[in-house]
Amino acid sequence: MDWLYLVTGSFLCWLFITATSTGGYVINLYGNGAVRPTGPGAHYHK
Amino acid sequence: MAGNSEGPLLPEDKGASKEEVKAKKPLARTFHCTNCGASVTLRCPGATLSVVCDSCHSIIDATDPNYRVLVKYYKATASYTPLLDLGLRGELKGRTWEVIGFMVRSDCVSRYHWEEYLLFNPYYGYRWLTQDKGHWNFVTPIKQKPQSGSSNNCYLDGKQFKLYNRGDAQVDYVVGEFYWRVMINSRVLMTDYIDPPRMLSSEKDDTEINWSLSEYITPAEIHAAFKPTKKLPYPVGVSATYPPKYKKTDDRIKLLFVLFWGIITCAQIYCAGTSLNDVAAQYNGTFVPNTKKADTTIPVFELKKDLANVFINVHANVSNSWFWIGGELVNDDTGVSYPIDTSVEYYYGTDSDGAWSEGGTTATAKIAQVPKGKYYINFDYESGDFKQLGGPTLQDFGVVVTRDVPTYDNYVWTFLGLLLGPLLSFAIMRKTEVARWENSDFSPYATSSYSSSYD
Repeated sequence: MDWLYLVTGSFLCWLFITATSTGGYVINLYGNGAVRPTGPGAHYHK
Repeated sequence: MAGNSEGPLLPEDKGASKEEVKAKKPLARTFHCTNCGASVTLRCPGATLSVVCDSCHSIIDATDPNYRVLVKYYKATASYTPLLDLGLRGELKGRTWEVIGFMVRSDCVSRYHWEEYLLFNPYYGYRWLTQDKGHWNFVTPIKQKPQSGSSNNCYLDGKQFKLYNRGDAQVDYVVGEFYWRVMINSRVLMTDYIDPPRMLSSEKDDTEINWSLSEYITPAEIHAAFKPTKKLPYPVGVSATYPPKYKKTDDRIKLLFVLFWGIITCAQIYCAGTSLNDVAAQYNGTFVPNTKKADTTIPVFELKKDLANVFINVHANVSNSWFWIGGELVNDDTGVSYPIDTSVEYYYGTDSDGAWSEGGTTATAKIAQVPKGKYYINFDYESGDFKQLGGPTLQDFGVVVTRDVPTYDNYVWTFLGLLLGPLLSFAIMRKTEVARWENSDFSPYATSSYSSSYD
């Protein structure tokens, strides 16, 4: 089981470093992300 | 006899190679049972004090010239068949041993029984193999008396052994030869202390105390050593000396956890220390409670750093009221936009429990991984304040856009994720240990209502 933890833990560390250094989230609870409005909701664009 | 039985190992064999010892021809002494007349073989003449007749189960004094019968007509009340036939010879722990005796013993209170096989090698003396629910132990008598610790443990060579079992054990069945005058139903006070995979045992009778050290041995090792004709039982449950395999795994997982924790802590410190935390834009405005306003724009501003987060902090002096902003952060060059939706709410008052409050006058919309470039923000806002339904009053609000803000969410989530491994490992190890101790009156995992009467 320790090898499985080695793999999982390494992945979590990689995910953490990648996300934190790019302003991302390991867990994005609110699902925030970029969108490109194309329909009626695009009224915010000037 | 089945298997690889040959003649007995004798002291004059000292110096012979293992092959020579294993190939040695029989030198056993044979005589007639003085009770039933059947042929009785004495495998280790000179070393054996008593021998059991295979036919009538009478126990015979092997040192008596006339082979005096010690106990007559003993009939086994249960059918016990040794898994290792007497006379089998095999190599264990780098030495050759011959099975010369077999006995079944039981706990006098619970009638729980187990098997013991006496092994003999003329150079190294006697050893035992015990078998209980398919679990085997290689038992070595020791002369060194362990140091007693507290009432529930003792020490041997600095290693602590925990009290596992204490009670009277009696001999139920014997066959073969023994180095003492074995008696059916003879009793000793047995005390077992464990430090898996080892167990320290003492057997006390009216005249002496004998100590022995057991070590777990797998059925595969027994099979490889003796090649018994009978199938060895599959181990059931977790025995007292079952190797704590998960202990090593648990230790490695704990070590890995500390390593991973150190990595993410260093990374967190570095990222927090090098973050820009730069205010990219600010907007101050006013709103009329209980109204909406659309299409407000924060003019183009620049976001530095290739890829980082953006925090949009909204402040409004709400008081038992709310202020909402909805809009988007738009890349002026590409048109890619990021939705913003947040509200400032602050309520307070008193009730039967005293003063209470909830919310606050600030709120933050967090946007992850926004590329660098020129951006603007379009937003609508709306507010509600039941206290000012009578007439509008202008109130201030502010929006602050901050680039590359140090955060700790990732650190907490990753830490919790990493913690799952050690927690799971601990749960598995504890389950194994609880199973190990469930047959003990001295289990450290037992609740107080099950605590031992020996305590």
